[in-house]
Amino acid sequence: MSHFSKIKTKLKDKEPLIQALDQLGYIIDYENKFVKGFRGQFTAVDISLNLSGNTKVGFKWDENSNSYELVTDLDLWNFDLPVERFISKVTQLYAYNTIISKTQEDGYQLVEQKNQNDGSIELVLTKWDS
Amino acid sequence: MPQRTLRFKIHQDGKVEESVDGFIGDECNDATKNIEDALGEVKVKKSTSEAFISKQNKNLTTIKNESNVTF
Repeated sequence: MSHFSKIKTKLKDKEPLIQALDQLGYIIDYENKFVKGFRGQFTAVDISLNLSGNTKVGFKWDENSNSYELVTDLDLWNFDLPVERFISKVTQLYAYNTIISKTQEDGYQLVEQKNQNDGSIELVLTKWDS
Repeated sequence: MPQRTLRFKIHQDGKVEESVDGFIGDECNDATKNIEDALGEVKVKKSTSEAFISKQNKNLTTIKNESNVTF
């Protein structure tokens, strides 16, 4: 049987998220896990980043959505990427890391990887039955 | 046994399209459950033509068995 699925990626696991942030070259701040967020209030976060332009960003676990959500003060956003592009890039790499690690656990091998012109990443993985 | 193939297209915004080939019966759902759970929320899931054919064949077999009982 075969199927086709469309999946909306949520940042559910810390490990592939940290991996994605590292791959994008962002520096994780393990000392100060606070970000000035909504209405200037300081919010405790699980992962804290110092982006260039003195922009502070954090990811905080959210029980309702069962995923990590971005915390930042948009008024102070001074990073060279708009916030939507930032979160898209992180989410795309998070999805990539999750797919690679989960399929490896299940014995699949990556046989093809293509970066398409539309910015998408295509992967083909195979496994032969033993 | 057939080669099992997983194909993914990870869009720029992180949405993922997945297609799965070479599985028997419901195995294909088991094969990708871990990945789908880890990624997030499945919005659309369709069985593809191959799945439809194997289902039809099953129906044909059932009919044959029934007629054997009748005779």
